[in-house]
Amino acid sequence: MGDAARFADVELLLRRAGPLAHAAFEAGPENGAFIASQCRVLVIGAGGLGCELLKDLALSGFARIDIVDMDVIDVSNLNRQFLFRAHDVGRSKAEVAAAFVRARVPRCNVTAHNADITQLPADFYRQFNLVVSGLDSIDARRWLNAFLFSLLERDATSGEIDPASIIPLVDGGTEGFLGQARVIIPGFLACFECTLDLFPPQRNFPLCTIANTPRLPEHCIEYAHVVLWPDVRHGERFDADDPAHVQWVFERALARATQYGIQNVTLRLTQGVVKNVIPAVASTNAVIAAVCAHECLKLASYLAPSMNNYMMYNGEAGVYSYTYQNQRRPDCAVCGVPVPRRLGISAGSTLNELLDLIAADAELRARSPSLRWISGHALYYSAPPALHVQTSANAERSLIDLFRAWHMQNGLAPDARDAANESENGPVVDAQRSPPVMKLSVADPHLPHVREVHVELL
Amino acid sequence: MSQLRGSDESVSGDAACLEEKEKTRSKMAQPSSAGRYDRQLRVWGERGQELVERARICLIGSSATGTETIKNLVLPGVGAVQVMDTQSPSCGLRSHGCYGATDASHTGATHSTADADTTQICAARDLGSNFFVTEDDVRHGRPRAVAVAHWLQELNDAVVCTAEHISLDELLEKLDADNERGKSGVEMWVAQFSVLVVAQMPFSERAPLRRLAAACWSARVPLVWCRSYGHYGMVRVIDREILTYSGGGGEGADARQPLDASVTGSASPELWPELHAFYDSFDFAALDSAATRLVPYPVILSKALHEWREKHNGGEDHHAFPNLRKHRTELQQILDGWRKSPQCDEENFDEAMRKLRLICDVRPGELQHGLAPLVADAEHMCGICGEEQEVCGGSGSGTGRDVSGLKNIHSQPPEAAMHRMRSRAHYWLFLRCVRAFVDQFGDVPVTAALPDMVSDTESYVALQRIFHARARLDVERMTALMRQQQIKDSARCSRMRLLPASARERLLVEPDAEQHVAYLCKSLRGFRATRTRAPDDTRYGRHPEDSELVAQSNNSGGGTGGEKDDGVEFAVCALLFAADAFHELQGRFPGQPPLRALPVDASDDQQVAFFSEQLVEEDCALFRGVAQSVAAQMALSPQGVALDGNLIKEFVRCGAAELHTVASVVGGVAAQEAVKLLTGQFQPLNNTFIFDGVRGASASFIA
Repeated sequence: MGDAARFADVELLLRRAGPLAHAAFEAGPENGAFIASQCRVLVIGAGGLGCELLKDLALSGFARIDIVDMDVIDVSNLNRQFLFRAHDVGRSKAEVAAAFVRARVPRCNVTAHNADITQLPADFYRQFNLVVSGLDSIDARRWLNAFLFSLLERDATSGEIDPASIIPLVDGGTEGFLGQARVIIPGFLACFECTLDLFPPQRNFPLCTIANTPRLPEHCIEYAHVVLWPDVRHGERFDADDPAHVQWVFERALARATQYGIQNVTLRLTQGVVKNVIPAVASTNAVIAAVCAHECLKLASYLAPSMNNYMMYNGEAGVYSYTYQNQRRPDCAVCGVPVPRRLGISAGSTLNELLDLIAADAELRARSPSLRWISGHALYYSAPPALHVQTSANAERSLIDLFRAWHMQNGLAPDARDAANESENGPVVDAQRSPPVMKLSVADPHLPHVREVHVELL
Repeated sequence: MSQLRGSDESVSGDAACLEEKEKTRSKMAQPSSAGRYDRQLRVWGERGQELVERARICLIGSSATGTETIKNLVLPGVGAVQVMDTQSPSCGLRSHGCYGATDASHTGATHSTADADTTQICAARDLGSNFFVTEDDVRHGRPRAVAVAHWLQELNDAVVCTAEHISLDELLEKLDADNERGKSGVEMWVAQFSVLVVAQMPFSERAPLRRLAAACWSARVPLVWCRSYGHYGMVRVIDREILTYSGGGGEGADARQPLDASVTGSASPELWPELHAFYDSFDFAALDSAATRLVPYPVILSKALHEWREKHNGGEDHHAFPNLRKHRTELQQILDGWRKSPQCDEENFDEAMRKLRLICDVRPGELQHGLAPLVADAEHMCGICGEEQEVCGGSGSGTGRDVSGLKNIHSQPPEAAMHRMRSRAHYWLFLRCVRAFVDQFGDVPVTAALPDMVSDTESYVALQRIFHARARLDVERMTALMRQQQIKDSARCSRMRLLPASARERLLVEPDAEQHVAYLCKSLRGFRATRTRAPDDTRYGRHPEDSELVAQSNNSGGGTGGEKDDGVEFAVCALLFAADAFHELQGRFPGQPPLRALPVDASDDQQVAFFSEQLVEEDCALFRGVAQSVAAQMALSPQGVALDGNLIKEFVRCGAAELHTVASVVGGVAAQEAVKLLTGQFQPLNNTFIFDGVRGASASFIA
């Protein structure tokens, strides 16, 4: 059926001059034609946001869409991922979503990629004019953001970014009745990493509470998950998506709760604790995905200037949203000039405690890091297994010990700043003496780049 | 599975048909529904879900905006939805194909053909904006409401989706005629729904929506009015009084609630001997430093208060209240004195310091969290029907005012109306009894949930047991008070007397209503009554809480810091009303092509004519005049509404286009509001939300 008739609503805007349109907007039938036949959009994630995005883009006139997701459909998706039916459970999300939209909107060419986003080659990403993501994982969004930045090409002499290498990223996220949407122009606007502190790191229960003074059902569940599982089923990787594993944790947690007189350990709570389940409803996904898709339409047609550049949305108390400009961080680990991350920890702490600190740090969030001295010598490897075995003994050693041992090994006299060593008879007054600093480089699959970290031993 | 209804047999008579379907639905209730709904149960809880599943929703206006709203309600599993369109179809199912053989019996039905407007039949233009209309529907010329109901049904077997083929004009006409004959009226018709959603309908003075909104207002049916207009969207909630219980029913919701004064021991021991016995079992002098570090902070606070009273007046006055700044300092000194190792971290003492307000600022029995005005309001409410006492009884003037539609609701209430009446009644009854409860037992009922705190397991579990036992006792006491009050009220409530006996029983608090009353007790701190503007109220103003929320988000969000400027949204709101005024004069919206739909095989010339920019120029001049006079009547901000010339032109050039993206934003927000109205959780929108797609921003305010 004729596109002009079908898309009369969008075309009314695309074919008439508008005073609020972007300066580069030129009204005419070419806009709709570009969106339909040339503009290629990549949708990352075929979940709650992804299903909505596909629908929104297809009904905004986009007809060359690719979608990537490596997940399969679960029954708990059906309350919002409206392209899936009960009989689709177990099938690829990307494939089912693409097939549904192709059938409903035959002019729209949707290609599915049942794949891990990190495994697709750079040339795959380079095909697209726009990337829009609906991912629930912060790690995946960090990776995508850093990757699109790495695709930028600069002029060899002037250092200026080649505009053709820029792929704008429109990103959305939701939790319950809350959400956010943003536009990232790599190299120009604040990127995901610049504003990582918008997402507080996951709260963990202190291990001593879990082990010694459990009070809440969550404490019992974490005990079964963090302490009992590695103890009893050593070597076996815990998989939060395996119902048998979750059931095992649930039963152990229930036993512990009974022993302590703690109530309300349920299977649902167990799933929530071990899997970090994010509450999700259809309506919020609809809002956020549509805001993102509207930004795609604007980016592809200049129908209006892009959102500048971040919108937070809160539907819990009335409807409140706030759109403002996030600033770039000059020291952003992705798009700026990173400076070493400074951490402080008591000198007597073990390396394990330092690893916890690095995992919980709002900027690093490296949960399985490998640490090297800045000189290149190994300190601790989380992978591969051979290196892990070699360095795992360090995990229980105190940081000050490791610090001294490294100095000895390298034939250096214990550092003049080694406060712990010289506090009794050192000539320098304590207050003026700076604490010893471990200069480390941290590599982690969750980090976009190797980061230099300076750990002050207090 | 097809749930189509091809018959137009009656308007209010469809209740029977729906109820039958609802019965079959409950028989095949899915065992996997807990799995299916897991992610939303974590938002609104089991009770919220139960209320969602009980709901019956009516949509009027089945274009993209309304359809998206309903999609977001079918997915979470509302009980039933009925889809209607605003205008009459020029033809019905008779000459066209249906989806399934089971519909054969309906295909003979004929439909009223009030006008020849074709907007209600699936058209090519719907394909470009409504995901729940297919090419097949267009080929077969199916009524759009039918197609939408059919494709929405696919999303969730547990929902009953039906389509009604009658225009709103005809419906109102028929219902008014019924009303004159003493039968049901518009009020009775709307009363069968839990929420009414209307989409893409003008609100101008003579618009049928006004009539409908007035009926909803008097029958207390919440109305959610949505529209998408070019880059702009709007949601407005209209309801006389929205009663909400809590900030949300998901897991962990309780733990956020503060403790009451009585728990920290500031109430006198005779009011809660078990708790004070527990506190007395601790003796700081006998505890080593490791044990001291694990004493729960309510124990610490209680003992500190006791010691303070001893010091202050020799313990004479058991009710001395440390309300002065210097008292707080004295208490802090007492706490510091008990620390075993001031340099070592004793987190429980830190917690006690932070919670000092529980004994300094909160007098036992004092109503906190905005409860006092609600409890005062409750004094005037009837505990049977939930209306003001002077409406339902006492003065005798009450039901005499009712139009016959309302009389019918009172004598034969539809299920949704019955549920509404019961919820309201119990809400106000509970609040009314809070006063009596405090007088009798010294403080508000205890919540069973104890927040986490530093403690050894044994003390915490012991405290929790004392807590649970007291909460159970308080629920029993409260239930008894509510039942007593109802007995008194039942003697004078005239509405109760109108009801059939079976319905009367349902209004009563049963002796075993503990679970229900426990929920009310648990929610006490979240009670809130939101009263929105009446549909015909033309005063306008600013959302009083908006600036507060802006301040909060600026403090926490790392934003630019400046005060959020909602000037554009005010202007958009004014222009939407102006567009309706224009529509009333011209029969179309500004910049809207006179031809509603472009032929599928339109020539280039036809296309140019359709998208004509000349029309934009012409309409701009006209629209500016209308807009200025509408805006002059609105005082959305102290400075008045500034109408930017560019914004006016943007409004005209879009020609009232319904973009799918904007429709989907609006549908999401409207569905969120509907869920809040159904579950009584979260805080509803009061009353207008405006989306501005040009900036990717929004605002809400009272308009």
